[in-house]
Amino acid sequence: MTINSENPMTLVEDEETLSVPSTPDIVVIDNVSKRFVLRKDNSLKERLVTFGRSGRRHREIFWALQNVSTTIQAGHTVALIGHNGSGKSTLLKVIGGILDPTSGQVSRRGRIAALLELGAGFHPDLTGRENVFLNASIMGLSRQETEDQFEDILSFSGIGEFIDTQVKFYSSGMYVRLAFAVAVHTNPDLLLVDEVLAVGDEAFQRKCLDKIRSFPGGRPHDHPRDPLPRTGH
Amino acid sequence: MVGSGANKGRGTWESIREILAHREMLALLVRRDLKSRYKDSALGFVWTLIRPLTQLFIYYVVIGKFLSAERGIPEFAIYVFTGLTAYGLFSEVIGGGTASIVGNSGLIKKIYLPREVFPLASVGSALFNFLIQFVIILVATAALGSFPATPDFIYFIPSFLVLLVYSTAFGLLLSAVNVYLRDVQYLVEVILLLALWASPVVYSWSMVKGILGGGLALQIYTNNPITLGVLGFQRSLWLGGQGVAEYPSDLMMRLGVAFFIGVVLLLIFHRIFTRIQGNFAQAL
Repeated sequence: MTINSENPMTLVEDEETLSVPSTPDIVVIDNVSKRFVLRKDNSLKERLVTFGRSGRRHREIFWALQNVSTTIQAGHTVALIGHNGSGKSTLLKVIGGILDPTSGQVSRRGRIAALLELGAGFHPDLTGRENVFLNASIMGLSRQETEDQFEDILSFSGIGEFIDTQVKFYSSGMYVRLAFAVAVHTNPDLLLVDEVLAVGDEAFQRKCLDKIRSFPGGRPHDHPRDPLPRTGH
Repeated sequence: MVGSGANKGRGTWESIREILAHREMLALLVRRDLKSRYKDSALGFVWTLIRPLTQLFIYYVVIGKFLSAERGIPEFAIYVFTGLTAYGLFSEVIGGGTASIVGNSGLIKKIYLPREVFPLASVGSALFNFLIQFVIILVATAALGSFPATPDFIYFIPSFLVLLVYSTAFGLLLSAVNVYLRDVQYLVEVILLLALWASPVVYSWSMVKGILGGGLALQIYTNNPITLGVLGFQRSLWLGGQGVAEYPSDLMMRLGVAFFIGVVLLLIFHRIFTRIQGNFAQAL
């Protein structure tokens, strides 16, 4: 699958999961393109001054994705591999519904948890505990379900007594550990992971891989040196 | 299977269903808004009261006493605070709503949510502050012996709804526009300041009538939703004015018409919101 002629990105399926008998399609990407318009005039004054024709000189068009089509099946692990700027993160955001495609159609089903960039959905002024409840409810868990899972989340993250500290005082590793712990405990049908695991230490990365492996029907890539780069589960 | 495609705004019903499905999260977002606003401050929630009470004090002393606007307005303090509460609800929903999408960019860039929840969460936290002020009015009127237990209290319901519908509609629209043009945030502050003085909060409607006469100018002044809301609040909560104060004719009908126009506006603005929300994540 080539997305961008001068900067290609490929989609690789884990060989182990390829042998899994075919399961329902969980994501169908149909001829998706994504265009970014870079504007250099971002204030009302500049916008008015450069209104109309001359305004076009103040913007640049960039195609991050062009005519991407693929499907992802439930229980499979998929890695997106490509250079910086080849559109990996954009594709993940389009899959997750965070960005709407410029043309084409993305269909998805089930619960999606996205770990894109650091500290997905944490509010710096709230404590770890408050953020767990907020984050879990954003991912679609009810309060009762979160309470039932809370001990598991806490012990998985290894945050310990700092759970009642405001997350702005957390280290980036603690941040990711808590975010990942919440994401995997919401029991998602699709887990989008983008680079965040690069922050955790080796022991935690291994723990995450084990956790993903334990998902029903799914076994992830096992790259000991490569911290699970971009995975659709 | 749910899908999202190019330039396909979701239908209104679909959006409402999606928001209802996220109502528990909405409640958490409201709580987060309220909690984080005064986090690490010693007085906490008291600060939400200090601002309107200070305003009340200034208006009562400077405008009421020094400029003697209170002549002809009995129980001037109650009068001013009633108007301030109505205006405060309106301005807080719009001000908070306008900043809500930009302020929650951390969430919007990383996870899919119906984006309407962020302006709606600021509506929620504004309602909470409004509730506190409303209770203060009731306590104060009870203490002064003019508790608003009269048939005119019925005016409270439509005027509250008018203020809520218009502020939510504009909060929704402006929150989306603010993503692309950050100037909106500052423009809104100025316009809200203007709106305070363009509605009969610290002076009376009859003073305006005396100057504008009975023509078109008065109609325009009277029929804007903030003026109607403020007048409705005063009529229902401020007993000092009963039999003394002058209100526009057919206030109830005006409120009703304003409410329906407001609902239509809300629907239109929501359509615009769903149209442009697809690009939020990249514009933030």
